[in-house]
Amino acid sequence: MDASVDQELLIAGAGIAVIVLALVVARRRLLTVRYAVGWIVLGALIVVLALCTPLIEPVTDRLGMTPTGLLLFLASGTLLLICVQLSITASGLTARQRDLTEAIALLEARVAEIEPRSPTSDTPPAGGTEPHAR
Amino acid sequence: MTPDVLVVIPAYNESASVGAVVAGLADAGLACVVVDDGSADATAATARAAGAPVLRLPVNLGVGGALRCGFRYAVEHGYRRVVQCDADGQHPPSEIRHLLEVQESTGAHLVVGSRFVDGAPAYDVGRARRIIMRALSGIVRRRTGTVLHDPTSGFRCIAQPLLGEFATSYPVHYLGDTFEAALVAARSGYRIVEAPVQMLPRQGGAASAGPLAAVRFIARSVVAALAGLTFRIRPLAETQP
Repeated sequence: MDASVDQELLIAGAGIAVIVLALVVARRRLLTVRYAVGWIVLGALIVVLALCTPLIEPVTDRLGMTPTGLLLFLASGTLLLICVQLSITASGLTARQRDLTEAIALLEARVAEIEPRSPTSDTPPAGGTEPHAR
Repeated sequence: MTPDVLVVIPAYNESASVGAVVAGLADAGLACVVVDDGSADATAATARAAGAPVLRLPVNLGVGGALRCGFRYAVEHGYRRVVQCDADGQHPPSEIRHLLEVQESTGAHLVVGSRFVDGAPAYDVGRARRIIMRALSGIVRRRTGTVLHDPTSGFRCIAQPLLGEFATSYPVHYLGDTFEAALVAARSGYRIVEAPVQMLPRQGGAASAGPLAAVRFIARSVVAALAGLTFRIRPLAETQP
């Protein structure tokens, strides 16, 4: 077996590892099905592209790249996109958390108005919260 | 009493000074609300004991988040104007009255209490801060034609309909609640004026400044200026019935 076949097997193995990891993590409910499906599809794509090099040969020939090089390029691009997507998700979650936090504070103040004698707990949350960038 | 005015006091770990600030406002006949921004100390209890309603944010959101929460409270309770004021006693009630008078005489939607206007005593700020402030007010002047000598001042009066817009959309990131809010308001057609004010030294607590503060201030200012306008409000013309 020549080196390029070894490389393709290695990459296919990594794809299978991604699928197995996604399945294990999803079964332990650390990952929602929505995200697990995405990772499994990605892993399957890696396996297919690594083992069926004729599929990408037109591209590699045109660019003068080895199949391994092309797959590495695609992998880094995919990782970048996933990172951007996660940052967008995190920004959305932050905005939602902010809306909810403000709504809770306003509701608590209304409850205090309605029940003036109820001992609203003024004790700060354990250890307080980390200051936001100010 | 000035029934249409609410003083919004964002407070983060200000239990040392917030009680005196609330008492001072009550003596001056000004209604206030304290927004406790996830403090770890007794800020909320101290403010409540001093007689102020308290909005207690369960997690720290930063000044912008605390302010928007206060604006929402003001709008829900029918107030027409808000003065935002620090919890450390830097802004005396007499100066709050002055901001309100300027708002009444000019009809502006946003009055920025400025420490650099002629007639106001100069305030001791570091050199880096002064240079950045000059740059930021240059940006405001070029983009909107409004002159703000102290665009980062956190002592301001906001009147309806701008108050309603800010209650809906107000940025939390650094300089967003001061510089960027003024810029967006000016660009959206709201009238902005600045008023000379006198600020006192802090009455308690510690200023959030350190050896690296100047460098961080510059870096974040550049990012804020480059990032530009990341939030939107309805233009003045659209808020008219």
